[in-house]
Parts: sequence; structure tokens; C-alpha cells
Amino acid sequence: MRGNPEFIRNLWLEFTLHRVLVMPAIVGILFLLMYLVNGQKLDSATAVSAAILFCAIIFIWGTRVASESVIQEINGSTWDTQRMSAMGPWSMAWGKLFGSTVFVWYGGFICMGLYWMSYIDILAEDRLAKLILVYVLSGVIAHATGLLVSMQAIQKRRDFGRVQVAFYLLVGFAAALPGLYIGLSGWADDGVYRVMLFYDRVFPLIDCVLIALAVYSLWALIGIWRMMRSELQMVNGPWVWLAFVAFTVAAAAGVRLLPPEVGRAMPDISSKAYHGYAMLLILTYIIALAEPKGPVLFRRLRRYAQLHDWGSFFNAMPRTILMLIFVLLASIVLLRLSESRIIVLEQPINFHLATIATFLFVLRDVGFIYLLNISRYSPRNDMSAFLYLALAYTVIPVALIFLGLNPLTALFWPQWDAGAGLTLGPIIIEVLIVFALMARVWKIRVVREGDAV
Amino acid sequence: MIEVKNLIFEYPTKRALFDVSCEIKTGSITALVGPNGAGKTTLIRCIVGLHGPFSGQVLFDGVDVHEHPRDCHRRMAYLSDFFGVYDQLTVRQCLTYTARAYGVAGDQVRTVVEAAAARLNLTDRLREKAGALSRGLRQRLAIAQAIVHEPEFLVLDEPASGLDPEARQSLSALLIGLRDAGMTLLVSSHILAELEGYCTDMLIMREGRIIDSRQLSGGLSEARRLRIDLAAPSDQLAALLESADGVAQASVADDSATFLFAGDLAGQTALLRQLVDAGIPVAALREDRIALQDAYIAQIHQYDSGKKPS
Repeated sequence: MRGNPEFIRNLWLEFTLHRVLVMPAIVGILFLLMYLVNGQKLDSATAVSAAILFCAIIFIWGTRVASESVIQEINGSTWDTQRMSAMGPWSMAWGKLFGSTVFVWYGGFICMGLYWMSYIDILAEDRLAKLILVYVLSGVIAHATGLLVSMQAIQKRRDFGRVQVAFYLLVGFAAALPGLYIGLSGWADDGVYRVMLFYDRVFPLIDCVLIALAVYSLWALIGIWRMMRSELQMVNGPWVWLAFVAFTVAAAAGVRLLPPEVGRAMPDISSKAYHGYAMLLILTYIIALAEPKGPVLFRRLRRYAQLHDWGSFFNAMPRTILMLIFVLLASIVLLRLSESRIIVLEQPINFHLATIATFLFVLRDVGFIYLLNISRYSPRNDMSAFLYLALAYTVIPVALIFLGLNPLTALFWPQWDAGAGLTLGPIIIEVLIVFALMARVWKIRVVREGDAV
Repeated sequence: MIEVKNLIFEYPTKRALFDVSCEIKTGSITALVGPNGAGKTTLIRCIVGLHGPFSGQVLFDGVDVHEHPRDCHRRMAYLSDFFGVYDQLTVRQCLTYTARAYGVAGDQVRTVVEAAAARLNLTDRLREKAGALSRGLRQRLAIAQAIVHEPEFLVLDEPASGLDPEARQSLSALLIGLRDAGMTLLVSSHILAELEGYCTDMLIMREGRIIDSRQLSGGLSEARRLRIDLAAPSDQLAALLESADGVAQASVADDSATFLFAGDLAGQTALLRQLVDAGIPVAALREDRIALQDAYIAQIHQYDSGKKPS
């Protein structure tokens, strides 16, 4: 840590004498106020006030400064100096993540000290220590996710305003929220940890939450490191992303989230497979919307293909294409593992048709996202695609149901209990239309314009 | 030192560099000139490895900048036209941070920081906050940051923009000093008259292409460009110049000839005597200082009228 120039620079910036004195003073005054209002007692009321202060400092202020740490360098025209330096991507990644938030953590740890003081006579020490770890790791994951998302956005655009930063802040907070919520509420009233099933074995819930928070903080830091590599013009192959996908899909497969009635209706193995499959779909949509894509990338890929430079082709290829291949393979596996038809909550479900339809819907949506990005240049393409897809999956089909036009929802949702014609017919037509348009746009923007310039 | 090979760069909406190839010689100060939108900044950012090209290569002493960016960055520096400094840090902190970021060893940091500050006349400002400096002083600080690790290759994009005449003059002196200290420089600027004072080579860009690349005489290069005015055409002149010591790049016309001459004034006298003794009707021999502005305008006109250079 002593040798990381980026971390040291942040220390110089953040720890002025004035700030070092002001932070404990403000936190102390607010806490003292609560202590006096509480009848000069240290108990759960003062602990909650310390926790609220921690959340305000760490989740709101901290996630904002972490999200802005690279954006401020770009806005201040100092980013090129850093990119031209000899600092490695790993030093820059953790130097930025922990350096930009070092002062925020100074305030956060003061709050946690007060939290400890308030609860030490009420809760067992190990439980208190785990609660504090939940807060701290949730803070780390919020900061890391905020920085990761902002760096992902930097790959697409170089101008940022308050709206974008607020969005990264929200994403960071959203990433921390499940762990924070489950971690804080995961105790039964008698103080014993609740448990959870993971691959059919029982584990203390709080331990699982702590491990998940720590592991995903590390994954987020690895993601920032990859983004830094990309900013430093280093080639990033897809392996780290694929490792993350494999890890997350495997973790999701082990967690029981389906309602027990659904779980009972499915063979155990297909229940796990469906959890993993659902996670694979979520990650496919995330990467399809997040990664940069446009005609220049595809012209470059076309050039690599013409030169038979398959190594460069593979490294530059959008991860989404690999994900589509995995979704296809996973769909095939799922078809083999699952029953053709099952009844869940008295509702017949045609698993095989629904699985095929789901894959086609993913294909359509990814095709649509790429169609927008290849056909025109705009940093808002992915946000537009997201909004169109959100409408297509929510407002429009719901409106159709209200209008009594239920069969038309087959254009917007996979059907679970309809025949093959209605389940697959409309979506096949949609996929064909999207890919026909894509072929046309590809010919103009990638082939013709690529050859012309 | 720098070899650019068939560089193509594309922005999402347009191609900015078209098959650009050029060379920057060790120890030179190369002016990169061209109108707005010609692709100068894009070329510079590709050369220093901040932009990955669509295709092509940039070699820094034979090392591919885009394959080994960090190795090359240790040995080069770049100052953008829109540079920034950390306003909340002192000048010493800014320089110390940059030195550490460029991998200067811990026990050397203080020495290199003070050396860079002294070189830029910032020694008495080391304790001041960067945000409190004037535009000219901030520029000096930014240059001090760029050279604190003693790079071999320094790239400056519009370094004189926003500077007053006095600051520009001191910038020129500084660049000459850096060149004398062994650095190779690439300088992009719109102010051709100012570049003329110290540049040894020139690259002219237009519409994403290098339309001219030439060595300038009169600058700091060892060779000077000389011009002979003839009283009458001479058939022997070309052969004589080719065989003469220290003469290169000879171009002979009916009424004149120009060439690069690597000798001193005594050598120049000897050459003149040799030509006169051989019967060449020499009317005058003088240094042919090509005005950068004239060369630039001539090339731009030539390019625009469709005579694209080979």
C-alpha cells in the first residue's frame, strides 16, 4: 500500500488536517445528540443511529466518490497522464477503489466504532463482529460496483454529468442491498443464525452472506482491473469473464430460490439447472447491454477474419456471442434434463417448448440490441434498447391482456402452456425479421462502409 | 526512434487516419502541422499508445507500442493540449506523484523532482498549490510532470496555446534544452512561426494523411540546406554534388540547386571553390532556410489541387 502512487496521491488529497478533524467532530456531535435524546443510554437506538450515519457516509457519499474517481480524472484532463504512466492496472484498480474512498472509510469506521460501543453489552461479540462485517463488505461491494459500472460506461462515452453518476451510485447501492438486507435480517429472534440450503447442505445464512459479499467484492475488483487493462490499451481475452460466469452460474444453481411447490414439481437436477440457466440469461442480458459494440468493432473483426488472425478475433469478439453459444448449449442440456410437461400449482407447463421459446427470445433481444448499435452511433443506444425491451416485456403485453388479446402476448413473452404454433411461431418470425434487418445493416455499415474508407 | 507503419484509425462515425506511415528520428524535434481536423491529435494519441489503431503499427525503438504499452510508457511522455494538474496538490506533490507513477525509485524521487522543478524554473513554487498557479506556470508544471522521469521521447500537443509571447519564448528555449539533453520531441502546433525556431523536421497532415515529410534546414540539425543560384544551366552540377563530401538530397534545376550540407563554414568554402574550379556558373551560394509557413502552404495547395505526394 505504501508503494502505490495512486493510493498515496489520494491520501494527500483526502487527509488534510482540516478534514481529519472535521469528520470525527461532525459524526461525534450527531451521535452525541442521539445519545442525549436517548436518555444518555447506549443501546439499539444509538446503534441504529450510528448505522444510519455509516450508511449515509459509505453508501451515498462513498459510492459517489468511487464512481467518480475515474470520471473526475477524465473531466480534469489528468486521465491521460495516468494512462501514460508506468503504473500497472492492478495498482490503479485498487489504488483508485480504496484511495478515492479512504476518507469515507475513515468516517465509516468511526461510525462502526460507535455501533460497537452501543451494542457491546447487548449482543454477543461474534454476532456483533459479523454484523459489522456485513456493513463493511456491503460498503466495499457498493464502491467496487459503482466504480466498475462507471468504468464500463467510460468505454462507450467520455462525457459525464450528474445523471450518469447518480445512476452508477444507484447500481452500486443496488449491488450491496441484497447482502446488506439478508445479512442484517438473517437472525431469528433468539439470536441464532438462520440457515440456508446450498447444494442441499445446510449453512448458517450469515456466513453465506459474508462469503458472498467478500467473493463478489473481489470479483468487482477483478472487473475494475480488467477495465483498467482495457483503458491502458492492454488486450483482454474473454477468460476472466467466462470464469465469472461459470462461478456465478454454479453458485446460483446451488441456491434454492424457487417456491417449494415449484421445486417439488421438478426433478431435483432440473431445479438446479433452471437456477443456473436463469442466472446465465441475466448475465447474457447484462453483458449484451454493457459491452461496447458498433460497426468499427465488427469491421475490425472482419479484418481479423480476412487475415486469419483468429487469436485477435477471439480476444476482440463480443462476449455476448460466447454467451449466446452457452445459452444455446444450456438450453439443450435443460431440454434433456427436464420433463416435457409438468404441473406446477395446478398450472400445466410445457417445459420443452418454453425453453426453446426462451432461447429464441434471448436471440431476438440480443439481435435487437446489436441492430441498434450497428445501425447508428449514439452513446444512448443501449439505454434505448433497454427501455424498448422493458416496454416489450411489461407495458405492452399487460395492455394486450387487459384488451383481451391474450394470444398476441406470444409476441412479447414466452408462452408456458400453449401449443407449439403459438409458442414458437411468432417468436421465430420476430427473430427472422431482426436478423434480416441486421444482415442489411451489416452489409451497409460493416462491409460497404468498411471497404469504402 | 519512432516508426509508424500503415496506421489506420477509425472513430465510430469516421475514419481519422488513412494508412499513415512516417518516421521520427532520434534527437530530432519534429513539427506535426496541419489544419484543424487533419488527424494530428489522433496520430499523436496512436503514437503514444492511448488510441488502439484499426490496423498498422507504431514501433518505438523496434518495440510495438500497442503490444507493450507499459514498457514504452516508461520511456516516453505526452502532454495533451487539454492537460490537467491536480489543483489541490502542491507543485512538489504533483511532481512526486508523477515520478512515482512513472516508476522512479524511491530514493531518486526527491532528486528528480527538484531537477525537473529547476529545469522549469519552478523551484520557488514547490510549496504552492497547483490550483493557485497562473496558466503559464501550470503549463510549466505540466511539462515538468511530463519530463520528471527523463523520457527519451516527449510528445507535446499544442504546447504553446494560451501562452503569452514571453512564455512561448521560454517554452521554445526549454524544448531546445530538452533536445540538447538527448530527448526526441514531437510537437504539434498551429503557430508555424514559433515551430520554425527549433524544429528540425516537419510532418504535414491533411485529411488523415501525411502529405509531406521533410527535414528542415536552419534548425538544429547537423546538416544545413544550401542553395546555389546559377547564372546559366549546368549539366555537370548534379554529378559534382553527388560526389561532393557532406552533400545529400541534392535537387538540381536549370537556374538553381538545393542540397543538404553536413559540413562547417570552411567546408562550405571548399565546396564553393570546387564548383567554381569545375566551371559551374555559380552566381550565389547561401543557406536556403525554408519558411515553414511557405512549405506548409505549398504542400497544402499541392495536395488540394490533386497532386497527392507519393
